[in-house]
Parts: sequence; C-alpha cells; structure tokens
Amino acid sequence: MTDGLTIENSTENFETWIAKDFVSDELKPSLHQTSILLVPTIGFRKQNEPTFPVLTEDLYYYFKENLPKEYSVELCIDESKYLEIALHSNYKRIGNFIVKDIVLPIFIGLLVAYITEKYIRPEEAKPHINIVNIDNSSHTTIINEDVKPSPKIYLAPTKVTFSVTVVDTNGTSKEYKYEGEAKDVKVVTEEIKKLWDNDKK
Amino acid sequence: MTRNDIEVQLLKIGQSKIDFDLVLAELATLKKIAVECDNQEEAKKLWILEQIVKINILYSTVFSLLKSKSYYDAWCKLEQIEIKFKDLKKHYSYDNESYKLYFIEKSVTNLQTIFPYRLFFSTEILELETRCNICKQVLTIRKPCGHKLGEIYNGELCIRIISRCELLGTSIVEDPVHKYAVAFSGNSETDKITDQYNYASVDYLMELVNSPYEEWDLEVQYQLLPHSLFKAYSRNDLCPCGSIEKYENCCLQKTGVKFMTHEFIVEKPSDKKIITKT
Repeated sequence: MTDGLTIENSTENFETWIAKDFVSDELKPSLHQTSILLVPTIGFRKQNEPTFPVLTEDLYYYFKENLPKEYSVELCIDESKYLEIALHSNYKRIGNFIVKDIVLPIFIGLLVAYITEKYIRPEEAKPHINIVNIDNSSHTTIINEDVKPSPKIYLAPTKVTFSVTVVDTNGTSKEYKYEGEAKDVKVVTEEIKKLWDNDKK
Repeated sequence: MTRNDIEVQLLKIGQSKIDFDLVLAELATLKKIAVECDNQEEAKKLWILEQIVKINILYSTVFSLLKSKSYYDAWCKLEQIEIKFKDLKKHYSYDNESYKLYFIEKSVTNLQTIFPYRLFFSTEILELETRCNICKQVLTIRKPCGHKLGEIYNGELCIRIISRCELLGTSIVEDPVHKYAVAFSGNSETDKITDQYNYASVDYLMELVNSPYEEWDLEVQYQLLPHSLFKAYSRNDLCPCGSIEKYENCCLQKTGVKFMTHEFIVEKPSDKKIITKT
C-alpha cells in the first residue's frame, strides 16, 4: 500500500453525520439528497466544536461547479455554525468527505483535479533548485533525480492530508486517510478505488 | 503613456534604468480609466503589469537590504515576492526572458535556500468573520458574494479579509505558511531579541554579485566527506551530518559523512571557500 494511506473500518455514514446536533431539521432533507458530504473535524481545540480547514469555501465551490448535475456536494453543518480553522504549518488540509460508493470514481477525478490545479501544477511551474550529490571518497558526482532531498524543509514539496469515508447502499462504510506528498494523490486515490472495489467483491 | 508603451519599456528591465515608481503611477492612472469604462479585461492586463513592476521593485530592495546586512527585512521581502508570483502565475505565464521574472523567481528560491533560518512560529486561528475585499461583504458559506478568490475584479486581486478571529495557539514548525515568523532568541528580562543566525553564505554571495540583475545561480551539493575528517566523533555521538541519529546508525554506515554545501555560479567567480555551518 502507498506510504501515508491508511484504512479503517468505519461506523460513520450519511445518517450518523446528519443526526449531529450542528445540523438543523431544516437542513436535513437537502443533506439526505446529496452524494458527497463535507464533514467537519470535531473538537480540534475546543470540545465538541466542529471546524473546517481553511479554504473549504474554495473546495466546496470547486466541487459544486464541476460535479455532473445529477450529483451534489453539501457541507454537513448549519450556516450559523460554520467556522474555518487556519493551521499555519504548510500541510494542506483538504477536508473530510463522506461519499456514496456510486459517485466514488467522479469524486476521485475531481479531488485529483483540484489538488493538481491548486498545489501540484504551481509547484511544477517553479524553477527548481540545482541539487547534486558528490562522493568525495570515490571522486564521483551522482545526479540522481529520484533521490533529491530538499535542502530546507520549508522548500520541500507540498504535503496534503484528507480522509474519505465511502458508504455503500446498506450504509456500511470504510474510511481511507492519506497524509503525504500532493504529487502522489492520483496513485493514492486509484488505490482507494481498487481497495473499495475488491472489498465489495 | 499607453499600456503598450509601458510593456515596451519594461522589456528593457536589467538592461537600462527604469523609474519603477513613475511606471506604477502611470499604470494606476490607466487602470482607473479602464475601471471607469468597466473595461475589465484591460484592468486585468494593467494589474498584471503592476505585479511585474512590484516584483522587480521588491527584488531590487532585497538586494540592497542584503548588501547592507539587513537580513531579516530582506527575508520578509523574499516571501512577499513569492506570494506575488503565486498570485500572478494564475493569470500570466512567462518564458525565461520576460521582464526578468524567471531570473527573479529562481533567485528568490535560491536565496531562501541559503538563508540559515530553520524554525518558525505558527499560529492556529479560528476565523470568526470573513469579508470579501472587493465588495466588503461579510461572507457566509452558502450565500457567496459572487467574487471568486484569486480572480481579478476592477483591476484588483480578490482575497479574503479575516475581520474577526480567535487565536487558539502557537506552535514551532519547520514548514510555516508564513515564512516571516522566524524564531529568534530573546531575553525575557530585557525584552531584547538576538539574531543568533549565521549569514556567512548570504554574505559570501553578496561579495560576488554586484547588482540586482547580475546573473548568478546556486548548486546545492550533498558531498560525502571522508570519515577521517571526523575522528573527534565516537560511534555513539550524534552524527556530524546534523541528523539526530547516532553516528554509527547514520553516516558511519556509508562511505562518508553527508554534508550540504553551496556552490555559487557567478560571472566573476572567486577561489575562496568558506566552511561554515549555517
């Protein structure tokens, strides 16, 4: 399995999240209709307080604009309780998603496109630092593209973290979490899809 | 002066002296006219030119600050250039020659590489009220104002202003969002801050490069230095490469000790080598 990817059996699904006390009765019907739910982290610093990572607004509208019209995305929280938290280490916290299995391939495509547009492409467009490995004992110069340690951590490749809980029609679910380099997101999400499909066989 | 005149003038950056402040004033006048005529496309083109000029002004300032050894001020300006590039590149792609942008972007990364800073303060902020800088409206998540983050409206970049927030905590990190939050040592009794960092690499580069647009590049070399140079270290000491592993579990297992060095590629090279830990 790809480094940084973990899988856990989950007891969470759309019903358990919609039943939370930060979802009002007026909001519930529209959340029942949705195929992707963006859910908060609860109790990050204050007990029971639901918060979303900074730039959730950007992600939410990206999904809204790009999802095929038969599918939809919603935030699992009342308007008045919505808060974003900015954690200023440069780890990009994308979000926590609850996804119906039928929409998983489309969700994965959009998530990869979002991370590519926001983080991977800008990084690739930056001029690179020239890094050379020299072995003085054997007088050889080794330029190895695959082993390029970054000279400073603050210049290292962007890292992302997200979790996806996939739910089948019976409400059973599995949670996939990823923490690692943004550039690996395509491989990781393809693996999530494969693992889910194999599990359901 | 028209936008075209300004573009032609800016193509000479690095070859002839340009009064950037005057150019910025001209751009502001043209942009005001474009906005009054609701010519959004023209206003956006003028915003792009403004960013190019501001990047060049900031880079020249960085160079002067480094020459006068105002390291931290220069460091903060480097971050401002980095942010400007991030905003600009969403709307404008450039080649290796245009307006010296490639040279500046590469130089910024190279300078950030040779700076000695490693630890930074990082805040955790709960955003309680957010406004759009274009319409000043307080934003709610399901009723957006319609202005998209990072787009250009009336010749201005759309950003979010956090108008009310709560500071939840501070931590020390190596990969900050805000590079300006450098950790300096201080004395709590005298409130005096000490700059404890070693800027030998930066100073050495500044000895070799005389003007902001003089070409230079950096090669970061990871050299394996022979173990005979590290006889003072026992097997159980921390590895001299700077990792937090024991020497015997780290570089002693390799043919040499891994050391990072900086080699500057400049127009007028010097034979001088400095050995310093930054």
